[in-house]
Amino acid sequence: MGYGRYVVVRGLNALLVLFIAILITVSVFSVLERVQYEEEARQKLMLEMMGTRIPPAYEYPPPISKVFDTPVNGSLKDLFSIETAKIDRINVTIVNINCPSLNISLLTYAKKELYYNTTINSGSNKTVHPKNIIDIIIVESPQPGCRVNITVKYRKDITDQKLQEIMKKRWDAYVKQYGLDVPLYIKVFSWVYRSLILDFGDARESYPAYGNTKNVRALILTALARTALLFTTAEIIALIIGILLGLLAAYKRGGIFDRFLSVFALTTNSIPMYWLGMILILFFSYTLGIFPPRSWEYVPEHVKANTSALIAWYLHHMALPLITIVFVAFGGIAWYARNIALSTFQEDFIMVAWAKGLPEKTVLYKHVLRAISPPIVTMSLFSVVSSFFGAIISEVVFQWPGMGRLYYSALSNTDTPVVLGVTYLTIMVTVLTKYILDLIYGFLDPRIKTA
Amino acid sequence: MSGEKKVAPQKSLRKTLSYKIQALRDFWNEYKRFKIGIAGLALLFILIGMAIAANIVVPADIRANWASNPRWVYNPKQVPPSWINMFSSEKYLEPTNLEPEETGDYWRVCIIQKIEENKEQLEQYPPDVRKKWIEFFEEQCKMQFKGRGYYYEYRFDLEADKVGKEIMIIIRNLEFNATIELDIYRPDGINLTGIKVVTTLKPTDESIQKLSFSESLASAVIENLIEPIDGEDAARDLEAKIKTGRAISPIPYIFMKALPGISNATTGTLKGEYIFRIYVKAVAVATGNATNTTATNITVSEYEEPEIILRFPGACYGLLGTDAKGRDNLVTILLGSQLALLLGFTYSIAAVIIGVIYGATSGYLRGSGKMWADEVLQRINEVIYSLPVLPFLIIFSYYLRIVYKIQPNIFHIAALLLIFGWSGVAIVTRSMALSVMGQPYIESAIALGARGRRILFKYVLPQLVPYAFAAIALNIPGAILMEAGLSFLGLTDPNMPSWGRMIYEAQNAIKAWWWVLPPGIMITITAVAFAFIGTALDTIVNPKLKGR
Repeated sequence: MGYGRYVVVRGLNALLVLFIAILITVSVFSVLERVQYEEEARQKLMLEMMGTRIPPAYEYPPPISKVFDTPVNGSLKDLFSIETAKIDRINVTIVNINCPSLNISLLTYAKKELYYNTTINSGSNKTVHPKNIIDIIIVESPQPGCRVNITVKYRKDITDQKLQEIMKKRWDAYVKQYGLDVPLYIKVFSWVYRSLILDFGDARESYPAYGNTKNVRALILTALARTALLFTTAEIIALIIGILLGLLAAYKRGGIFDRFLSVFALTTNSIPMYWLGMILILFFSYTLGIFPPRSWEYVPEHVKANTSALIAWYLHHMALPLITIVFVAFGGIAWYARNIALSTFQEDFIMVAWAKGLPEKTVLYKHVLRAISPPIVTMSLFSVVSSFFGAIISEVVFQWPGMGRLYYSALSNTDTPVVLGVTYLTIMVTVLTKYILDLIYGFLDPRIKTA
Repeated sequence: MSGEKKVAPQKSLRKTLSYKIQALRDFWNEYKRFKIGIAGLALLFILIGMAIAANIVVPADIRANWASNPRWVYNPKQVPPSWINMFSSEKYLEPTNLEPEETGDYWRVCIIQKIEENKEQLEQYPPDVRKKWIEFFEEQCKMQFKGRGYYYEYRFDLEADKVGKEIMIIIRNLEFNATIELDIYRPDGINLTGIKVVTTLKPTDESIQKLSFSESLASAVIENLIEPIDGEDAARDLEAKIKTGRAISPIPYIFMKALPGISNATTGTLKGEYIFRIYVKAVAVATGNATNTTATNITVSEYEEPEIILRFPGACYGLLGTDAKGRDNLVTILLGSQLALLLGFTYSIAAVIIGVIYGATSGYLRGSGKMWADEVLQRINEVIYSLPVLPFLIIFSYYLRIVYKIQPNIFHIAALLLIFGWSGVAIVTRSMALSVMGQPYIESAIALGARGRRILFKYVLPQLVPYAFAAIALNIPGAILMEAGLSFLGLTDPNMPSWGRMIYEAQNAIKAWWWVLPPGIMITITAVAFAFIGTALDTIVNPKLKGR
């Protein structure tokens, strides 16, 4: 009855927390996605309208050809009014000019002007916007005297109103394409489903350290495996050291070591892990030259062949991040273990064991250790999981290509899908592990089990 | 009658006051027993001192605009602190401003130059002929150059081993268009002459010319120093690095011993007296129309003489050195202490107030029999308590940046932290409030007809005040570490001189220990100070912990 009720209550609680967490993250995601898509669509529209990308032909009236006849001396220059704006999609063709007085420099000048200037006076005072020009052909005129004919193929000028209409049409197309017309709450529902199957779409940038794929799920799973490798190793070491030291402190309570431990735990808890990483790199890599400053490099061929050498190579490269995480984590764990052990020492059954005159070793190993191991292990794992996110930030310092570095590059690239994916996964991993550990703890602790 | 009435409250007031003072004294006596508490208080006083010092030491314009203050231009970039000279065998040049030893009309230099050029010939002549020649030079120079410009001569006595990567020419109140040229005379007789620093400088109040950007200087260094000694190939390599890559500053080469290996910068520094001569020559003003221009020479004596200072920013600076943008690290550290304390106290006090009220209400509701209301409050609390803070903080900061285009500053971060921060306090206060509600005096108060709000505010909340103080101290380290984490990910306002921001910016310059070490130490000290104080307070107010 006791544990069953505990499981039901905690399970319901876990479901509620998960639901709320998903709801918050997913609503944030949908707004972020919408804002990002809107920006993308607006940028694309801008690019189209700027003329850098010529809009589809069907949007515009058909092209018209017009031939200008020019006198020779310098009047080509007058043809093109000088304004500055860059346009580079017009073809200028110059054909068959056998006229010595029309020297080549004038023609290159003309070509340049046509390329770079925004307006062309077309006979009358009408101006043609360069985005409407398709082709310019310069040919020697058949008329006597050195003259050229300039054929300008252009579309009818688009008035502002018409431009607005076209823009609106294109915008509507984009709105459909990006799904901006779908109401936000429907997006939220679709996101709930997508987040459950970890479908975050494609990344906007590529991350070569994580393989050639752009799929966010693949990226994150690759990163997660590497982070787990580093983090789990570090935490196992930290747990072993921490628990041993904690028990030692509890056993010799009130001694110098015990008092030192509390100060040490408070201090290491206050050190920013990434900063400690930087200091260790400064000291061990740059000053002493023992460990490499970057933790992840391509494995050399001669190392790959030999398994033991490969393991040694990895350990050598992982050493600095391992030291960092262990150093920051073990003090807190030791302090925690000490407190639990101390409260157990004060329990009645230990007193009874002492009173019975049992040998010290038997009391310590058979009674104390057995009583305190479940809470210590689960509680330490609790703290480990909550420190997970802090540890992935410090990956950045060591260039370890796990979740942390992926997150860091995604944040600096404002790569929203990746940011969303990593955040979502971290939150879910943290919440879920916490509740699973909670249930295990309830199972192990006899007081909860029988309550 | 009335006199008696007046006396009574005074007495009671004095009594209550003395009780309060006695209580404080007792508390302090108890607190004194905790060594870590005292250590924490000492650290806190240092921090507060720093925060106050920041307002006194740091000029107001830097406090208003730290990130891109114009003062930083004069500083050397990413250099160690000055006291390094006491420990290092190599000496680092401290920032030096050189005033001209000699100034004058440019034509006087012309004579000296001409005499030097024809030194050998002149020595062969008898004195009277020599004098005539010199007079001839004088006239020639006067005709050519009188009124055309000024010269400024500086003597730089180099004793340091590291000169730094920059030399600046600071030109103040220039009233005519001018060309600025530079000659450098080294102690070993190798001279770098005819360096064109600026071709046309328009009239300005103040203009700073950085010599490391001067291509002409780079060419002079390569032609006169590198090529004759190390050969053409080395010279070409170095030129590519200096000019196209801009990876290397040409300045240190000016001060190197002219020995083989100079292109690798391995020959050491040549100590001795260097002479810098700066020429400010007036540029002819073009008059007339576009087709028919004539250059009219101007006479500089019509204008005020410009003031020119030769500045060596040096290779060390101040107490904590500078960062990559030339900002004084000491200033950043001092301003950072203000931000850290501000953030810590704003967030923590707000979180504790909300948490205590929430927890007390929840406990009171359960104690007075409204189980369902407590249950609802508890569920909400537990949900918020279970969410991991930092990822949510990051995603919310990201949201602020993308959607509202806000760079989160201290107050945004405090507000974001507050969304989660109160729940831990609320859980503890709820259980405390529950135990208070079980006390007999609450029962008697209810029996005497006290209403709910009276019980909550008069009997329950005052019992929680001591714990609230401990909670305020215990909540601050987390906030400071969170801010540092956010800043480290580059999510906060770049104009905010916080310690976390400093670590973030120092990431790619780990070797610059004077830049990397201080912010982390400060973060640790601050967090530790509050953790110590909080632990000591917690042990006093939380009797459960006393036995341990």
